[in-house]
Amino acid sequence: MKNTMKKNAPSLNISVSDKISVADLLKNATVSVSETEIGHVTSFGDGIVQADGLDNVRMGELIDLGDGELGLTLNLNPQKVGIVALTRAAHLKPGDVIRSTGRILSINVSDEIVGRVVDPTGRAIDGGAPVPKGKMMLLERIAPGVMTRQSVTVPLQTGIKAIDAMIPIGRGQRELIIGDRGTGKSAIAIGTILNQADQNVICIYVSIGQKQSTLAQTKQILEERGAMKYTIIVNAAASDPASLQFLAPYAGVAIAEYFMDQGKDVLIIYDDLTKHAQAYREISLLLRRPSGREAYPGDVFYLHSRLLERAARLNKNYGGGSITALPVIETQGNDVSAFVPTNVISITDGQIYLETDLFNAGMKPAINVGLSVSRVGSAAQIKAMKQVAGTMKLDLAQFRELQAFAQFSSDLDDKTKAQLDRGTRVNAVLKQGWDTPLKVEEQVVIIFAAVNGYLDPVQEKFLGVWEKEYLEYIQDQYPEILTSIRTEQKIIDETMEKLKEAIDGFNRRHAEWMLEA
Amino acid sequence: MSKVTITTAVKLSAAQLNKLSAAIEKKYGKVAKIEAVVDPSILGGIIVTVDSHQFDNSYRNRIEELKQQISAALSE
Repeated sequence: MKNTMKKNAPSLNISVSDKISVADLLKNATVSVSETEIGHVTSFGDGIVQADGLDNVRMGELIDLGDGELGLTLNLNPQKVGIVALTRAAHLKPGDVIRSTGRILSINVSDEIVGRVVDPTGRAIDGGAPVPKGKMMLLERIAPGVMTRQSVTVPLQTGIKAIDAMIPIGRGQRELIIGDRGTGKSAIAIGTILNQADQNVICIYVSIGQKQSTLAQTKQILEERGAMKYTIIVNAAASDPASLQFLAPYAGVAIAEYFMDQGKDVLIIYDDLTKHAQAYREISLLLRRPSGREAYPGDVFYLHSRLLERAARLNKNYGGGSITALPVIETQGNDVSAFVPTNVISITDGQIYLETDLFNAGMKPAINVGLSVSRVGSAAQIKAMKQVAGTMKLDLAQFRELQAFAQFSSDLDDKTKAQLDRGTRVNAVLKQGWDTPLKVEEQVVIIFAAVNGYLDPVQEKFLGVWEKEYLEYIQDQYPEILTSIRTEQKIIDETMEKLKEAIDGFNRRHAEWMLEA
Repeated sequence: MSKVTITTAVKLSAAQLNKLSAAIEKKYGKVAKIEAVVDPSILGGIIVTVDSHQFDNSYRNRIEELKQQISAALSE
Protein backbone atom coordinates (compact mmCIF):
# COMPACT_ATOMS: atom_id res chain seq x y z
CA MET A 1 0.00 0.00 0.00
CA LYS A 2 2.69 2.44 1.05
CA ASN A 3 4.76 1.54 -1.96
CA THR A 4 2.03 2.39 -4.43
CA MET A 5 1.43 5.73 -2.77
CA LYS A 6 5.09 6.62 -3.05
CA LYS A 7 5.08 5.69 -6.69
CA ASN A 8 2.04 7.81 -7.47
CA ALA A 9 3.07 10.93 -5.64
CA PRO A 10 5.95 12.15 -7.86
CA SER A 11 4.08 11.66 -11.12
CA LEU A 12 1.27 13.85 -9.82
CA ASN A 13 3.74 16.61 -8.88
CA ILE A 14 5.27 16.68 -12.34
CA SER A 15 2.02 17.22 -14.14
CA VAL A 16 0.91 19.86 -11.66
CA SER A 17 4.09 21.92 -11.46
CA ASP A 18 3.93 22.69 -15.19
CA LYS A 19 1.10 25.21 -15.11
CA ILE A 20 -1.26 24.72 -12.22
CA SER A 21 -0.55 25.44 -8.59
CA VAL A 22 -2.51 23.33 -6.15
CA ALA A 23 -2.69 26.23 -3.74
CA ASP A 24 -4.48 28.35 -6.33
CA LEU A 25 -6.81 25.51 -7.12
CA LEU A 26 -7.73 25.07 -3.50
CA LYS A 27 -8.22 28.80 -3.06
CA ASN A 28 -10.59 29.02 -6.03
CA ALA A 29 -12.39 25.78 -5.30
CA THR A 30 -15.96 26.09 -4.10
CA VAL A 31 -17.54 23.61 -1.80
CA SER A 32 -21.17 23.82 -0.88
CA VAL A 33 -23.87 21.81 0.76
CA SER A 34 -24.83 19.24 -1.84
CA GLU A 35 -28.54 18.72 -2.26
CA THR A 36 -29.53 15.49 -3.99
CA GLU A 37 -32.29 12.98 -4.22
CA ILE A 38 -31.17 9.66 -2.84
CA GLY A 39 -32.56 6.19 -2.95
CA HIS A 40 -31.61 2.72 -1.82
CA VAL A 41 -31.13 -0.30 -4.01
CA THR A 42 -33.80 -2.86 -3.22
CA SER A 43 -32.84 -5.33 -5.92
CA PHE A 44 -30.32 -5.59 -8.69
CA GLY A 45 -30.08 -8.17 -11.43
CA ASP A 46 -29.57 -8.44 -15.20
CA GLY A 47 -28.59 -4.77 -15.36
CA ILE A 48 -31.87 -3.62 -13.80
CA VAL A 49 -31.79 -1.74 -10.50
CA GLN A 50 -34.97 -1.39 -8.45
CA ALA A 51 -34.69 1.35 -5.87
CA ASP A 52 -36.84 3.08 -3.27
CA GLY A 53 -36.67 6.79 -2.49
CA LEU A 54 -35.74 9.09 -5.42
CA ASP A 55 -39.11 10.82 -4.96
CA ASN A 56 -38.58 13.73 -7.33
CA VAL A 57 -36.58 12.04 -10.03
CA ARG A 58 -37.56 12.57 -13.67
CA MET A 59 -37.99 10.10 -16.50
CA GLY A 60 -34.78 9.54 -18.44
CA GLU A 61 -32.63 11.10 -15.75
CA LEU A 62 -29.11 9.87 -15.09
CA ILE A 63 -28.61 8.21 -11.73
CA ASP A 64 -25.23 8.03 -10.03
CA LEU A 65 -24.82 4.41 -9.00
CA GLY A 66 -21.54 5.12 -7.24
CA ASP A 67 -18.04 4.15 -8.39
CA GLY A 68 -18.44 6.51 -11.36
CA GLU A 69 -21.10 4.30 -12.94
CA LEU A 70 -24.40 5.59 -14.23
CA GLY A 71 -27.93 4.36 -14.64
CA LEU A 72 -31.00 5.67 -16.44
CA THR A 73 -34.51 5.87 -14.98
CA LEU A 74 -37.06 4.07 -17.14
CA ASN A 75 -39.89 3.21 -14.73
CA LEU A 76 -41.32 5.60 -12.17
CA ASN A 77 -43.67 4.24 -9.52
CA PRO A 78 -44.72 5.88 -6.25
CA GLN A 79 -42.85 3.30 -4.19
CA LYS A 80 -40.04 2.26 -6.46
CA VAL A 81 -38.00 3.38 -9.42
CA GLY A 82 -36.75 1.09 -12.20
CA ILE A 83 -33.28 1.99 -13.39
CA VAL A 84 -31.28 0.41 -16.15
CA ALA A 85 -27.52 0.36 -15.53
CA LEU A 86 -25.44 1.74 -18.39
CA THR A 87 -22.42 -0.28 -17.32
CA ARG A 88 -21.95 -3.58 -15.53
CA ALA A 89 -22.26 -1.88 -12.08
CA ALA A 90 -20.78 -5.00 -10.50
CA HIS A 91 -20.25 -3.21 -7.17
CA LEU A 92 -23.95 -2.68 -6.39
CA LYS A 93 -25.49 -4.40 -3.39
CA PRO A 94 -29.01 -4.17 -1.96
CA GLY A 95 -29.19 -1.24 0.44
CA ASP A 96 -26.55 0.81 -1.40
CA VAL A 97 -27.24 4.52 -1.71
CA ILE A 98 -27.76 5.84 -5.25
CA ARG A 99 -28.35 9.49 -6.11
CA SER A 100 -29.95 11.55 -8.81
CA THR A 101 -27.71 13.79 -10.88
CA GLY A 102 -30.39 16.10 -12.29
CA ARG A 103 -28.89 15.53 -15.74
CA ILE A 104 -30.88 14.23 -18.68
CA LEU A 105 -28.92 11.84 -20.86
CA SER A 106 -26.84 13.74 -23.41
CA ILE A 107 -23.71 13.28 -25.47
CA ASN A 108 -20.73 15.57 -25.96
CA VAL A 109 -20.32 16.47 -29.64
CA SER A 110 -17.79 18.75 -31.29
CA ASP A 111 -16.57 19.13 -34.87
CA GLU A 112 -13.56 16.95 -34.02
CA ILE A 113 -15.80 13.93 -33.48
CA VAL A 114 -15.68 13.28 -37.24
CA GLY A 115 -13.45 10.30 -37.96
CA ARG A 116 -13.84 8.84 -34.47
CA VAL A 117 -15.40 5.73 -32.97
CA VAL A 118 -17.47 6.45 -29.87
CA ASP A 119 -19.82 4.54 -27.60
CA PRO A 120 -23.39 5.76 -26.97
CA THR A 121 -22.26 7.84 -24.00
CA GLY A 122 -19.77 9.72 -26.17
CA ARG A 123 -16.64 8.03 -24.87
CA ALA A 124 -13.98 7.48 -27.53
CA ILE A 125 -13.38 3.74 -27.99
CA ASP A 126 -10.85 3.89 -30.82
CA GLY A 127 -7.87 4.23 -28.47
CA GLY A 128 -7.51 7.94 -29.22
CA ALA A 129 -7.83 10.98 -26.98
CA PRO A 130 -11.25 11.91 -25.58
CA VAL A 131 -13.49 13.90 -27.93
CA PRO A 132 -12.81 17.63 -27.22
CA LYS A 133 -15.52 19.47 -25.31
CA GLY A 134 -18.21 20.86 -27.55
CA LYS A 135 -21.96 20.96 -27.18
CA MET A 136 -24.00 18.57 -25.07
CA MET A 137 -26.70 17.13 -27.32
CA LEU A 138 -29.77 15.52 -25.77
CA LEU A 139 -30.27 11.90 -26.72
CA GLU A 140 -34.04 12.29 -26.62
CA ARG A 141 -35.09 15.41 -28.49
CA ILE A 142 -38.39 16.27 -30.11
CA ALA A 143 -38.22 15.86 -33.90
CA PRO A 144 -38.29 19.07 -36.01
CA GLY A 145 -41.83 20.34 -36.48
CA VAL A 146 -43.79 21.02 -39.65
CA MET A 147 -42.86 24.69 -39.88
CA THR A 148 -39.14 24.00 -39.85
CA ARG A 149 -39.14 21.44 -42.65
CA GLN A 150 -39.12 21.49 -46.42
CA SER A 151 -39.69 18.73 -48.90
CA VAL A 152 -36.95 16.50 -50.23
CA THR A 153 -35.44 17.85 -53.47
CA VAL A 154 -31.70 17.19 -53.35
CA PRO A 155 -30.56 13.67 -54.24
CA LEU A 156 -28.40 11.56 -52.00
CA GLN A 157 -26.38 9.52 -54.48
CA THR A 158 -25.73 6.00 -53.28
CA GLY A 159 -23.54 5.20 -56.29
CA ILE A 160 -25.54 2.01 -56.79
CA LYS A 161 -27.25 1.91 -60.19
CA ALA A 162 -30.32 -0.06 -59.12
CA ILE A 163 -31.03 2.38 -56.29
CA ASP A 164 -30.16 5.70 -57.90
CA ALA A 165 -32.12 4.83 -61.05
CA MET A 166 -35.23 3.18 -59.67
CA ILE A 167 -35.42 3.76 -55.91
CA PRO A 168 -33.85 7.24 -55.68
CA ILE A 169 -33.10 8.60 -52.24
CA GLY A 170 -33.25 12.30 -51.38
CA ARG A 171 -31.53 14.18 -48.60
CA GLY A 172 -33.77 14.14 -45.53
CA GLN A 173 -35.49 10.91 -46.53
CA ARG A 174 -35.80 7.73 -44.47
CA GLU A 175 -35.27 4.66 -46.61
CA LEU A 176 -35.38 1.22 -45.05
CA ILE A 177 -32.94 -1.49 -46.12
CA ILE A 178 -34.66 -4.79 -45.40
CA GLY A 179 -33.74 -8.40 -46.06
CA ASP A 180 -32.65 -11.75 -44.62
CA ARG A 181 -29.22 -12.28 -43.12
CA GLY A 182 -26.42 -12.40 -45.66
CA THR A 183 -28.23 -10.58 -48.44
CA GLY A 184 -25.88 -7.60 -48.51
CA LYS A 185 -27.78 -5.07 -46.38
CA SER A 186 -24.71 -3.68 -44.67
CA ALA A 187 -22.85 -3.76 -47.99
CA ILE A 188 -25.37 -1.32 -49.48
CA ALA A 189 -25.05 0.92 -46.43
CA ILE A 190 -21.26 0.93 -46.50
CA GLY A 191 -21.17 1.33 -50.29
CA THR A 192 -23.34 4.42 -49.85
CA ILE A 193 -20.89 5.84 -47.30
CA LEU A 194 -18.02 5.24 -49.72
CA ASN A 195 -19.86 7.19 -52.42
CA GLN A 196 -20.20 10.31 -50.25
CA ALA A 197 -16.50 11.16 -50.61
CA ASP A 198 -17.06 14.26 -52.75
CA GLN A 199 -20.71 14.87 -51.88
CA ASN A 200 -20.22 17.06 -48.82
CA VAL A 201 -22.14 14.71 -46.56
CA ILE A 202 -21.13 13.68 -43.04
CA CYS A 203 -21.82 9.99 -42.43
CA ILE A 204 -22.69 8.34 -39.14
CA TYR A 205 -22.62 4.58 -38.89
CA VAL A 206 -24.47 3.29 -35.83
CA SER A 207 -23.56 -0.31 -35.17
CA ILE A 208 -26.02 -2.02 -32.81
CA GLY A 209 -25.31 -5.44 -31.32
CA GLN A 210 -22.79 -6.39 -33.99
CA LYS A 211 -19.72 -8.54 -33.47
CA GLN A 212 -16.63 -6.50 -32.63
CA SER A 213 -14.81 -8.33 -35.43
CA THR A 214 -17.42 -7.24 -38.00
CA LEU A 215 -17.14 -3.64 -36.91
CA ALA A 216 -13.33 -3.77 -36.97
CA GLN A 217 -13.58 -5.00 -40.55
CA THR A 218 -16.05 -2.25 -41.49
CA LYS A 219 -13.81 0.39 -39.94
CA GLN A 220 -10.82 -0.97 -41.80
CA ILE A 221 -12.66 -0.79 -45.12
CA LEU A 222 -13.76 2.79 -44.43
CA GLU A 223 -10.23 3.74 -43.45
CA GLU A 224 -8.62 2.12 -46.49
CA ARG A 225 -11.02 3.88 -48.82
CA GLY A 226 -10.51 7.23 -47.09
CA ALA A 227 -14.11 7.34 -45.89
CA MET A 228 -13.30 7.75 -42.18
CA LYS A 229 -12.39 11.37 -42.98
CA TYR A 230 -16.10 12.21 -43.04
CA THR A 231 -17.54 9.33 -40.99
CA ILE A 232 -18.35 8.79 -37.32
CA ILE A 233 -18.97 5.32 -35.91
CA VAL A 234 -21.22 4.87 -32.87
CA ASN A 235 -20.80 1.39 -31.51
CA ALA A 236 -22.74 -0.68 -28.99
CA ALA A 237 -21.39 -4.16 -29.54
CA ALA A 238 -23.03 -7.51 -28.88
CA SER A 239 -21.12 -7.75 -25.61
CA ASP A 240 -22.29 -4.36 -24.33
CA PRO A 241 -25.26 -4.14 -21.95
CA ALA A 242 -28.70 -4.00 -23.59
CA SER A 243 -29.06 -0.47 -22.24
CA LEU A 244 -26.21 0.78 -24.42
CA GLN A 245 -27.56 -1.03 -27.47
CA PHE A 246 -30.91 0.63 -26.81
CA LEU A 247 -29.31 4.09 -26.57
CA ALA A 248 -26.94 3.80 -29.56
CA PRO A 249 -29.34 5.03 -32.31
CA TYR A 250 -30.40 8.01 -30.19
CA ALA A 251 -26.75 8.87 -29.57
CA GLY A 252 -26.14 8.63 -33.32
CA VAL A 253 -29.01 10.93 -34.22
CA ALA A 254 -27.97 13.38 -31.47
CA ILE A 255 -24.58 13.66 -33.18
CA ALA A 256 -26.35 14.03 -36.53
CA GLU A 257 -28.50 16.87 -35.16
CA TYR A 258 -25.37 18.72 -34.04
CA PHE A 259 -24.26 18.87 -37.68
CA MET A 260 -27.74 19.41 -39.12
CA ASP A 261 -28.10 22.45 -36.84
CA GLN A 262 -25.03 23.87 -38.57
CA GLY A 263 -26.79 23.52 -41.92
CA LYS A 264 -24.85 20.45 -42.99
CA ASP A 265 -26.13 17.32 -44.70
CA VAL A 266 -25.83 14.14 -42.68
CA LEU A 267 -26.36 10.49 -43.60
CA ILE A 268 -27.05 8.16 -40.69
CA ILE A 269 -27.19 4.38 -40.89
CA TYR A 270 -28.74 2.27 -38.12
CA ASP A 271 -27.35 -1.23 -38.50
CA ASP A 272 -29.64 -2.74 -37.41
CA LEU A 273 -32.94 -1.81 -35.77
CA THR A 274 -33.99 -5.44 -35.29
CA LYS A 275 -31.25 -5.86 -32.68
CA HIS A 276 -32.23 -2.47 -31.26
CA ALA A 277 -35.82 -3.65 -30.76
CA GLN A 278 -34.53 -6.86 -29.21
CA ALA A 279 -32.36 -4.95 -26.74
CA TYR A 280 -35.36 -2.83 -25.80
CA ARG A 281 -37.50 -5.96 -25.44
CA GLU A 282 -34.91 -7.38 -23.05
CA ILE A 283 -34.98 -4.25 -20.91
CA SER A 284 -38.77 -4.05 -20.96
CA LEU A 285 -39.26 -7.67 -19.95
CA LEU A 286 -36.76 -7.29 -17.10
CA LEU A 287 -38.64 -4.17 -15.98
CA ARG A 288 -41.78 -6.34 -15.98
CA ARG A 289 -43.62 -4.18 -18.45
CA PRO A 290 -46.58 -5.92 -20.09
CA SER A 291 -45.53 -7.56 -23.33
CA GLY A 292 -47.46 -7.73 -26.54
CA ARG A 293 -46.91 -9.31 -29.93
CA GLU A 294 -43.67 -11.35 -30.17
CA ALA A 295 -43.08 -10.35 -26.52
CA TYR A 296 -42.22 -6.80 -27.59
CA PRO A 297 -43.55 -4.08 -25.29
CA GLY A 298 -46.43 -1.86 -26.33
CA ASP A 299 -44.26 1.12 -27.22
CA VAL A 300 -41.92 -0.54 -29.68
CA PHE A 301 -43.54 1.40 -32.55
CA TYR A 302 -42.91 4.68 -30.74
CA LEU A 303 -39.37 3.49 -30.02
CA HIS A 304 -38.62 3.60 -33.74
CA SER A 305 -40.99 6.33 -34.88
CA ARG A 306 -39.54 8.94 -32.54
CA LEU A 307 -36.08 7.98 -33.74
CA LEU A 308 -36.82 8.06 -37.47
CA GLU A 309 -38.93 11.22 -37.24
CA ARG A 310 -35.74 13.04 -36.33
CA ALA A 311 -34.56 12.57 -39.91
CA ALA A 312 -35.52 15.81 -41.65
CA ARG A 313 -34.66 18.42 -44.19
CA LEU A 314 -34.83 21.85 -42.59
CA ASN A 315 -35.84 24.87 -44.61
CA LYS A 316 -33.68 27.93 -45.27
CA ASN A 317 -34.82 29.77 -42.15
CA TYR A 318 -33.49 26.94 -40.04
CA GLY A 319 -30.18 26.54 -41.84
CA GLY A 320 -31.21 24.08 -44.56
CA GLY A 321 -29.42 21.10 -43.01
CA SER A 322 -30.66 17.55 -43.38
CA ILE A 323 -30.50 14.11 -41.85
CA THR A 324 -31.02 11.18 -44.20
CA ALA A 325 -31.67 7.94 -42.35
CA LEU A 326 -31.02 4.46 -43.71
CA PRO A 327 -32.32 2.04 -41.07
CA VAL A 328 -31.51 -1.62 -41.60
CA ILE A 329 -33.92 -4.41 -40.64
CA GLU A 330 -33.10 -8.10 -40.72
CA THR A 331 -36.02 -10.38 -41.55
CA GLN A 332 -36.28 -14.11 -41.07
CA GLY A 333 -37.39 -16.19 -44.02
CA ASN A 334 -38.39 -13.09 -46.01
CA ASP A 335 -41.13 -12.40 -43.48
CA VAL A 336 -41.75 -8.68 -43.86
CA SER A 337 -45.03 -8.96 -41.97
CA ALA A 338 -43.31 -9.70 -38.65
CA PHE A 339 -43.89 -7.07 -35.98
CA VAL A 340 -40.77 -4.91 -36.16
CA PRO A 341 -40.39 -4.98 -39.99
CA THR A 342 -44.00 -3.86 -40.58
CA ASN A 343 -43.60 -1.09 -38.02
CA VAL A 344 -40.48 0.29 -39.62
CA ILE A 345 -41.86 -0.12 -43.15
CA SER A 346 -44.81 2.06 -42.22
CA ILE A 347 -42.63 4.74 -40.61
CA THR A 348 -40.11 5.08 -43.44
CA ASP A 349 -40.47 6.74 -46.85
CA GLY A 350 -39.90 3.52 -48.74
CA GLN A 351 -37.81 0.38 -48.61
CA ILE A 352 -35.04 -1.39 -50.43
CA TYR A 353 -36.00 -5.03 -50.38
CA LEU A 354 -33.21 -7.61 -50.62
CA GLU A 355 -33.83 -11.28 -51.39
CA THR A 356 -31.82 -14.43 -50.73
CA ASP A 357 -32.97 -16.03 -53.99
CA LEU A 358 -31.68 -13.14 -56.05
CA PHE A 359 -28.46 -13.10 -54.07
CA ASN A 360 -27.90 -16.81 -54.69
CA ALA A 361 -28.71 -16.37 -58.37
CA GLY A 362 -25.74 -14.00 -58.58
CA MET A 363 -27.76 -10.81 -58.72
CA LYS A 364 -25.73 -8.41 -56.60
CA PRO A 365 -26.97 -6.14 -55.12
CA ALA A 366 -29.89 -8.55 -54.53
CA ILE A 367 -32.51 -5.81 -54.78
CA ASN A 368 -36.01 -6.85 -55.69
CA VAL A 369 -36.86 -3.78 -57.76
CA GLY A 370 -40.50 -4.82 -58.01
CA LEU A 371 -41.10 -4.69 -54.27
CA SER A 372 -38.74 -1.84 -53.47
CA VAL A 373 -40.11 1.68 -53.49
CA SER A 374 -39.07 5.21 -52.67
CA ARG A 375 -42.06 7.37 -51.83
CA VAL A 376 -40.44 10.78 -51.96
CA GLY A 377 -37.08 10.34 -53.67
CA SER A 378 -38.20 10.77 -57.28
CA ALA A 379 -38.53 14.52 -56.63
CA ALA A 380 -34.83 14.49 -55.89
CA GLN A 381 -33.74 12.55 -58.97
CA ILE A 382 -31.79 14.51 -61.57
CA LYS A 383 -33.46 14.95 -64.97
CA ALA A 384 -30.84 12.92 -66.84
CA MET A 385 -31.58 9.90 -64.69
CA LYS A 386 -35.32 10.34 -65.13
CA GLN A 387 -34.81 10.38 -68.91
CA VAL A 388 -33.31 6.90 -68.89
CA ALA A 389 -34.81 5.29 -65.78
CA GLY A 390 -38.43 5.54 -66.92
CA THR A 391 -37.84 3.18 -69.82
CA MET A 392 -35.84 0.87 -67.61
CA LYS A 393 -38.69 0.34 -65.14
CA LEU A 394 -40.97 -0.59 -68.03
CA ASP A 395 -38.41 -2.97 -69.56
CA LEU A 396 -37.92 -4.73 -66.26
CA ALA A 397 -41.61 -4.98 -65.46
CA GLN A 398 -42.29 -6.59 -68.86
CA PHE A 399 -39.30 -8.85 -68.38
CA ARG A 400 -40.49 -10.15 -65.01
CA GLU A 401 -43.91 -10.87 -66.40
CA LEU A 402 -42.56 -12.81 -69.35
CA GLN A 403 -39.81 -14.58 -67.45
CA ALA A 404 -42.09 -17.00 -65.63
CA PHE A 405 -44.08 -17.64 -68.77
CA ALA A 406 -41.03 -18.21 -70.95
CA GLN A 407 -39.86 -21.12 -68.83
CA PHE A 408 -42.73 -23.26 -70.07
CA SER A 409 -42.65 -22.52 -73.74
CA SER A 410 -39.71 -22.73 -76.05
CA ASP A 411 -41.68 -21.31 -78.97
CA LEU A 412 -41.64 -17.59 -78.54
CA ASP A 413 -42.59 -14.98 -81.07
CA ASP A 414 -39.94 -12.47 -82.04
CA LYS A 415 -41.41 -9.63 -80.04
CA THR A 416 -41.50 -11.63 -76.80
CA LYS A 417 -38.00 -12.86 -77.44
CA ALA A 418 -36.78 -9.33 -77.98
CA GLN A 419 -38.39 -8.20 -74.74
CA LEU A 420 -36.79 -11.08 -72.87
CA ASP A 421 -33.38 -10.28 -74.35
CA ARG A 422 -33.73 -6.63 -73.47
CA GLY A 423 -34.79 -7.51 -69.92
CA THR A 424 -31.83 -9.81 -69.44
CA ARG A 425 -29.48 -7.04 -70.51
CA VAL A 426 -31.06 -4.32 -68.41
CA ASN A 427 -30.96 -6.70 -65.47
CA ALA A 428 -27.30 -7.45 -66.11
CA VAL A 429 -26.50 -3.75 -66.09
CA LEU A 430 -27.94 -3.48 -62.57
CA LYS A 431 -25.34 -5.90 -61.22
CA GLN A 432 -22.61 -4.03 -59.45
CA GLY A 433 -19.89 -4.69 -56.90
CA TRP A 434 -20.81 -3.15 -53.56
CA ASP A 435 -17.48 -1.36 -53.27
CA THR A 436 -17.51 0.19 -56.72
CA PRO A 437 -19.91 3.11 -56.50
CA LEU A 438 -20.48 4.96 -59.78
CA LYS A 439 -21.03 8.67 -60.30
CA VAL A 440 -24.51 9.55 -61.47
CA GLU A 441 -23.36 10.60 -64.97
CA GLU A 442 -21.57 7.27 -65.37
CA GLN A 443 -24.73 5.46 -64.35
CA VAL A 444 -26.70 7.46 -66.89
CA VAL A 445 -24.50 6.59 -69.87
CA ILE A 446 -24.57 2.88 -68.98
CA ILE A 447 -28.33 2.74 -68.48
CA PHE A 448 -28.81 4.83 -71.65
CA ALA A 449 -26.98 2.17 -73.66
CA ALA A 450 -28.99 -0.67 -72.12
CA VAL A 451 -32.48 0.78 -72.51
CA ASN A 452 -31.83 2.03 -76.03
CA GLY A 453 -30.93 -1.42 -77.28
CA TYR A 454 -27.20 -0.93 -77.74
CA LEU A 455 -26.61 -4.00 -75.58
CA ASP A 456 -29.07 -6.21 -77.47
CA PRO A 457 -26.48 -7.54 -79.94
CA VAL A 458 -23.91 -8.26 -77.23
CA GLN A 459 -23.52 -11.88 -76.10
CA GLU A 460 -24.70 -12.44 -72.54
CA LYS A 461 -21.37 -13.68 -71.25
CA PHE A 462 -19.66 -10.49 -72.40
CA LEU A 463 -22.10 -8.08 -70.74
CA GLY A 464 -19.89 -7.55 -67.70
CA VAL A 465 -16.74 -6.81 -69.61
CA TRP A 466 -18.70 -4.68 -72.10
CA GLU A 467 -19.86 -2.39 -69.31
CA LYS A 468 -16.40 -2.06 -67.80
CA GLU A 469 -14.62 -1.32 -71.08
CA TYR A 470 -17.42 0.95 -72.25
CA LEU A 471 -17.13 3.13 -69.18
CA GLU A 472 -13.36 3.41 -69.61
CA TYR A 473 -13.87 4.21 -73.27
CA ILE A 474 -16.32 7.02 -72.56
CA GLN A 475 -14.13 8.47 -69.80
CA ASP A 476 -11.15 8.32 -72.16
CA GLN A 477 -12.55 9.33 -75.51
CA TYR A 478 -15.68 11.33 -74.72
CA PRO A 479 -15.17 12.99 -71.31
CA GLU A 480 -17.28 15.94 -72.57
CA ILE A 481 -20.40 13.73 -72.51
CA LEU A 482 -19.94 13.09 -68.78
CA THR A 483 -19.17 16.74 -68.12
CA SER A 484 -22.27 17.84 -70.01
CA ILE A 485 -24.56 15.50 -68.06
CA ARG A 486 -22.98 16.58 -64.79
CA THR A 487 -23.33 20.30 -65.43
CA GLU A 488 -26.66 20.32 -67.32
CA GLN A 489 -28.21 17.67 -65.03
CA LYS A 490 -29.95 16.33 -68.15
CA ILE A 491 -29.10 14.78 -71.49
CA ILE A 492 -29.35 17.60 -74.00
CA ASP A 493 -30.00 16.69 -77.67
CA GLU A 494 -26.45 17.41 -78.71
CA THR A 495 -25.01 15.14 -76.00
CA MET A 496 -27.48 12.42 -76.89
CA GLU A 497 -26.32 12.41 -80.51
CA LYS A 498 -22.71 12.29 -79.42
CA LEU A 499 -23.44 9.47 -76.98
CA LYS A 500 -25.20 7.41 -79.67
CA GLU A 501 -22.27 7.93 -81.98
CA ALA A 502 -19.84 6.95 -79.23
CA ILE A 503 -21.67 3.70 -78.41
CA ASP A 504 -21.95 2.77 -82.10
CA GLY A 505 -18.23 3.30 -82.48
CA PHE A 506 -17.53 1.22 -79.38
CA ASN A 507 -19.73 -1.66 -80.53
CA ARG A 508 -18.02 -1.68 -83.96
CA ARG A 509 -14.67 -1.91 -82.26
CA HIS A 510 -15.69 -5.01 -80.32
CA ALA A 511 -17.34 -7.12 -82.98
CA GLU A 512 -15.98 -10.24 -81.22
CA TRP A 513 -18.50 -9.77 -78.38
CA MET A 514 -21.52 -9.57 -80.65
CA LEU A 515 -24.07 -12.28 -81.38
CA GLU A 516 -23.84 -13.79 -84.84
CA ALA A 517 -26.49 -12.23 -87.01
CA MET B 1 -45.24 13.03 7.52
CA SER B 2 -41.57 12.90 6.76
CA LYS B 3 -38.96 10.47 7.89
CA VAL B 4 -35.74 12.21 8.85
CA THR B 5 -32.26 10.80 9.30
CA ILE B 6 -29.46 12.90 10.76
CA THR B 7 -25.96 11.58 10.32
CA THR B 8 -22.99 13.05 12.17
CA ALA B 9 -19.45 11.95 12.95
CA VAL B 10 -19.90 12.44 16.68
CA LYS B 11 -22.97 11.96 18.81
CA LEU B 12 -25.25 15.00 19.06
CA SER B 13 -26.67 16.17 22.36
CA ALA B 14 -30.42 16.05 22.96
CA ALA B 15 -30.55 19.85 22.86
CA GLN B 16 -28.83 19.93 19.46
CA LEU B 17 -31.22 17.31 18.10
CA ASN B 18 -34.24 19.22 19.36
CA LYS B 19 -33.02 22.40 17.71
CA LEU B 20 -32.50 20.56 14.45
CA SER B 21 -35.88 18.85 14.47
CA ALA B 22 -37.59 22.17 15.19
CA ALA B 23 -35.88 23.67 12.14
CA ILE B 24 -36.84 20.71 9.96
CA GLU B 25 -40.47 20.77 11.11
CA LYS B 26 -40.64 24.44 10.25
CA LYS B 27 -39.63 23.68 6.66
CA TYR B 28 -41.28 20.30 6.04
CA GLY B 29 -44.13 20.13 8.49
CA LYS B 30 -44.64 17.37 10.99
CA VAL B 31 -41.83 14.85 11.27
CA ALA B 32 -42.76 11.25 11.92
CA LYS B 33 -39.51 10.04 13.32
CA ILE B 34 -35.99 11.35 13.65
CA GLU B 35 -33.23 8.84 13.46
CA ALA B 36 -29.80 9.97 14.67
CA VAL B 37 -26.93 8.03 13.14
CA VAL B 38 -23.30 8.31 14.18
CA ASP B 39 -20.97 7.55 11.29
CA PRO B 40 -17.33 8.50 11.84
CA SER B 41 -16.53 7.86 8.15
CA ILE B 42 -18.12 11.18 7.18
CA LEU B 43 -15.23 12.80 9.11
CA GLY B 44 -17.19 15.83 10.27
CA GLY B 45 -20.16 18.05 9.49
CA ILE B 46 -23.70 16.79 9.12
CA ILE B 47 -25.94 14.97 6.64
CA VAL B 48 -29.68 15.55 6.87
CA THR B 49 -32.01 13.30 4.90
CA VAL B 50 -35.69 14.16 4.69
CA ASP B 51 -37.50 11.32 2.91
CA SER B 52 -35.38 10.94 -0.24
CA HIS B 53 -34.03 14.47 -0.14
CA GLN B 54 -30.50 14.66 1.17
CA PHE B 55 -28.49 17.69 2.30
CA ASP B 56 -24.86 16.66 2.53
CA ASN B 57 -22.60 19.06 4.42
CA SER B 58 -20.12 16.45 5.57
CA TYR B 59 -16.36 16.82 5.36
CA ARG B 60 -16.20 13.66 3.31
CA ASN B 61 -18.38 15.27 0.66
CA ARG B 62 -16.35 18.49 0.67
CA ILE B 63 -13.13 16.55 0.16
CA GLU B 64 -14.81 14.59 -2.63
CA GLU B 65 -15.87 17.85 -4.32
CA LEU B 66 -12.36 19.25 -4.03
CA LYS B 67 -10.98 16.06 -5.51
CA GLN B 68 -13.31 16.35 -8.49
CA GLN B 69 -12.48 19.99 -9.09
CA ILE B 70 -8.74 19.36 -8.92
CA SER B 71 -8.85 16.33 -11.20
CA ALA B 72 -11.04 18.26 -13.66
CA ALA B 73 -8.49 21.10 -13.68
CA LEU B 74 -5.66 18.63 -14.22
CA SER B 75 -7.32 16.84 -17.11
CA GLU B 76 -7.93 20.07 -19.04
